[in-house]
Amino acid sequence: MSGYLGVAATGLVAVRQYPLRSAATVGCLVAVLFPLVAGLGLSRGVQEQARESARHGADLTVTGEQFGREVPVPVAAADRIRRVDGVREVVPRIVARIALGKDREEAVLVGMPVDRFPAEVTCVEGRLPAPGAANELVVGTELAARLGLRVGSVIPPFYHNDRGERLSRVVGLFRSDAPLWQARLILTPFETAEAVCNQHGLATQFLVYCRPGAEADVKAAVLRGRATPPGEGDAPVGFRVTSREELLDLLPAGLRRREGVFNLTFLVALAAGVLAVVVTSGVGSPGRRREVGILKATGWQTDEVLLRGLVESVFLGLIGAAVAVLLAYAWLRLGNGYWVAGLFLAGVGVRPTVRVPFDLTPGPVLTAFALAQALVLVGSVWATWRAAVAPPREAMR
Amino acid sequence: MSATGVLTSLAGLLLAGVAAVLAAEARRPPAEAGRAAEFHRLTGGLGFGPATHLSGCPAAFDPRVCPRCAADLGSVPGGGGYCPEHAGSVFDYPPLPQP
Repeated sequence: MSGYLGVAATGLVAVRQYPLRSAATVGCLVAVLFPLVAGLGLSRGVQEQARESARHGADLTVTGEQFGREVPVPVAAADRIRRVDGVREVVPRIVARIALGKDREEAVLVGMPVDRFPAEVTCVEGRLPAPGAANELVVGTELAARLGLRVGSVIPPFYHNDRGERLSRVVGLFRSDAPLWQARLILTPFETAEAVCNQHGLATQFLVYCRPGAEADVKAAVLRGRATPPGEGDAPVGFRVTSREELLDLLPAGLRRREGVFNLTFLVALAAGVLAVVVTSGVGSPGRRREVGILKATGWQTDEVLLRGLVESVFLGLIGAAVAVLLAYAWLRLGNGYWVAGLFLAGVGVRPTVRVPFDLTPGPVLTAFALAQALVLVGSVWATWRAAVAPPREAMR
Repeated sequence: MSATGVLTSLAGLLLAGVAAVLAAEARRPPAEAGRAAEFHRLTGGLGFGPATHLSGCPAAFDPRVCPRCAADLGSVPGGGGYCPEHAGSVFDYPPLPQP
C-alpha cells in the first residue's frame, strides 16, 4: 500500500516537473469552465428573481385578444371583471416600450393607478410619483446612468400627444438592489402613461387579485366574457388570462431546457476547449512518451505509470475547476459581473448599474469539477497508457 | 516545506475556498427579499426573463407582457436561436400555453 502511495506522490512531482505544461492545462480549464459556471450561476439568479416576481405579482393577468394576438383592453372592461364572484381587486396597468434621449435609449414605461402606491417604499430613492402639472417619473438605475438623470432632473417633452405635451420630472430612482427589471423601467401614474402613449381609456393588462382558492373559477368566468361585448365596441375584444401557476410552471420547464440555447453555444466553446486541454495535457507529446519510456525502462509497471499519470491529471483538474469557480464567484459577486453580465443579460451595460442576480449552488460547481476531470483524464491517461504498453525502446525514441 | 508540499497546500486552499463559497451562498438570505417583494407589489409583478427591455423579445422580459417569442421560427431547426434574446440566453423558458 505504501508503495502505491509513494507512486501516487510522484504524480505531484510530475506537476512541478513540467510547470509550463501544468500551467497551460490549468489555464485551458479555467478558460473553458469560467463561462459555464458564470452562466449557470446567473441563470439560477434570474430564476430566483423570476419566482419572486410570480409570487408577489397578481393572481391573474388579463389582456385583450383579437385574431389570436394580444391587444390592449378598454379600462371600462375592468368593471365587468370586478363583478365576477371571487374577485378582490382589478388594477389596470400599462406596460409600454418607449425610447428616450438622443441615443434613443430603450425604456419600459409602466403606468399604475396612484391609489395602489404605498405611502413609503424602500426600493426607491426619493419618492413615488403623483399626478400633477408635470409628469412625475421614477426611473431605473441603468436608464438614469445612461441619460445622466438624478432626482429632480427635468426631461423636456419626449412624446407626442394630441392634447399637448408636458415636462417630466424625475422624483425617484430605483435602488440598484431592487430586481433586475428595474434597470430600464419608468414608473409613473396611470394617467401619465396614457398621455405618454397617446392612448386614452386603454390598459395593456388588468391585474386581478382573487380570494384564496377562487383563482380557477375566476379565470374560467373571465374567459367566458368579452372585453367589448357586441354592440359596445367597434370590434369585439376577447380576454386572455395568465395565472400565477402557469407562470410558475415555466420555471421547471426552463430548467428542463437546460438553461436554453446557452448550453448549445457553450458546447461549441467546449469542443474547442477539449482540443486545447487534450493537447496541453499530453496527447501526442513526445516528452510524455519519453518520460513513460524511461520509467518503464527503469522497472516501473504499467499500473504504476498509469497511477502516476492519474494523480497528476486529477490534481490539475481539481486546481483548474477550483480556480474557475472562485474566479466566477469573485467576478460576479464581488465585481458585480463587470462586462460578463452584459453578455448574458440583455440591456445590462459593461459596468452593470443593477445588482446582478447570481446564485452559486453545488450543481454548477460539481458539473465544473466533473468536466475538468473528464477533460484532463481523456488527454493524459489515454496518452500515458498508449506509451506505457509500448516497448520502452519505442517510447523513448 | 518541499515543492510538493507547497502544491498540495495550494490545492487544499483552493478547495477550501470553493467549500467556503458554497457555504456562504447557502447561508445567504434570499437576495434583497424585502425590496424585491416591495418592487413587485408596486408594479403588480413585472419581469421574468433575462431581458431588461422590450425591444428585442418582450417574451424574454416577461411572458405576461408577451406570451411567446415572435422571432422563434419553431419549424426551422434551431429556430429559437433566431431571436436575439434567446440565442445564448442563460434562462430560456417555453411560451405560455395557448388558451
